[in-house]
Amino acid sequence: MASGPELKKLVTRAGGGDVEAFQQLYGLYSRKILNYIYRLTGSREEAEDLTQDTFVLAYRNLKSLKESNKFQSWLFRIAQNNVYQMYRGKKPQMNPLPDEGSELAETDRLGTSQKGSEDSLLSSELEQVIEKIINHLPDKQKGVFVLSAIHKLSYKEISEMEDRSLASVKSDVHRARVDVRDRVKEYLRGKHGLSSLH
Amino acid sequence: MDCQACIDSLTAFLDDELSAPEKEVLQTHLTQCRPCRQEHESLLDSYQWVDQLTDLEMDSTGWTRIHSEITHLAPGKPAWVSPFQFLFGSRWIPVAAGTLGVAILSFFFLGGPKAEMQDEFQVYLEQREQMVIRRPPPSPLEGIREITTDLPNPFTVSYDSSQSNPFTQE
Repeated sequence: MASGPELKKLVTRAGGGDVEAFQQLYGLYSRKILNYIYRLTGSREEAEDLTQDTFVLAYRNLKSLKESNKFQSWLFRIAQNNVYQMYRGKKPQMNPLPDEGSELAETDRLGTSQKGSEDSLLSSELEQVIEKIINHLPDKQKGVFVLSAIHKLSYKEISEMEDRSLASVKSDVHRARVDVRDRVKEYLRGKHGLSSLH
Repeated sequence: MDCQACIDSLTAFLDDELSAPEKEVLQTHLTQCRPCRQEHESLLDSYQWVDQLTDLEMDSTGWTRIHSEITHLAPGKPAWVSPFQFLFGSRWIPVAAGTLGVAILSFFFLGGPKAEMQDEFQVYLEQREQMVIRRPPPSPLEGIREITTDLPNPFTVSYDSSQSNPFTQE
């Protein structure tokens, strides 16, 4: 990752129309933005499209960015606006949460069990469950949770980006953390309960 | 610190968002309170699960589309603005256009043509005073009020009362 002064130079050059500098910024941030949008939408195809839209929009508006050290949170904000604009008035299509014993959970398990060991089965399945749980968080909590827990943005950066108070961000991150933990534990309890029957 | 305050601050503590004194107070409470310590460990598990999530990889063709889109556009402004931007700077374009419009209108309505228009109007007034209003000559039919003739009026309807009424019912 580019250091502060290097990043500032890149942002200034890209703002002046230097495509090569912008390509370097794309290399640094595209994966983060892709995964951020993916966690918000739950769809890889939409995440790829919206990531491209985000970077095109960023290039066209880079001159309006006053503080180049805030490039990352500015980029996340563009991505977030793109997602909200796309889903204005409708909720993102989300897969249902896998209940223990449900058809989806069974299919997941069968699919992964053919791949390999018990450990990788647990890890792969757990990952899918966590992704779905995150996807089902309320919008307000999901945004701050993804930025904090996955992208490691500070509460201050998130509060500036979302135009919210620090206390509100802190409270929503905490609620989301507790919610994710409780739901995963619930799922694991159910799973172990079923496994012990076999 | 009470247990509720400790639990509410656990996420901020694990995210390293507490100040040094706050952190110290919370750590002291954790060493003394078993339920809060269990809550802390339980939350720590969820941190490990979330950290295990794997990231998607960016599609290699992603940059190609972005590159083709941004190389067709100057950042933020349509291409036709560029020469104006060079002359005035983007922020002054509307002001410059407005000033130019006002100058053109002033030239036509307040400037050179004004004296000529006044002269022409004066000439028109003089000509109007000298104008003679001509009336059309009297018509040859003027004065004839009625037409007399010996012929019978073809539109007179006569009624013969000797005929019986064909519609009378007996």
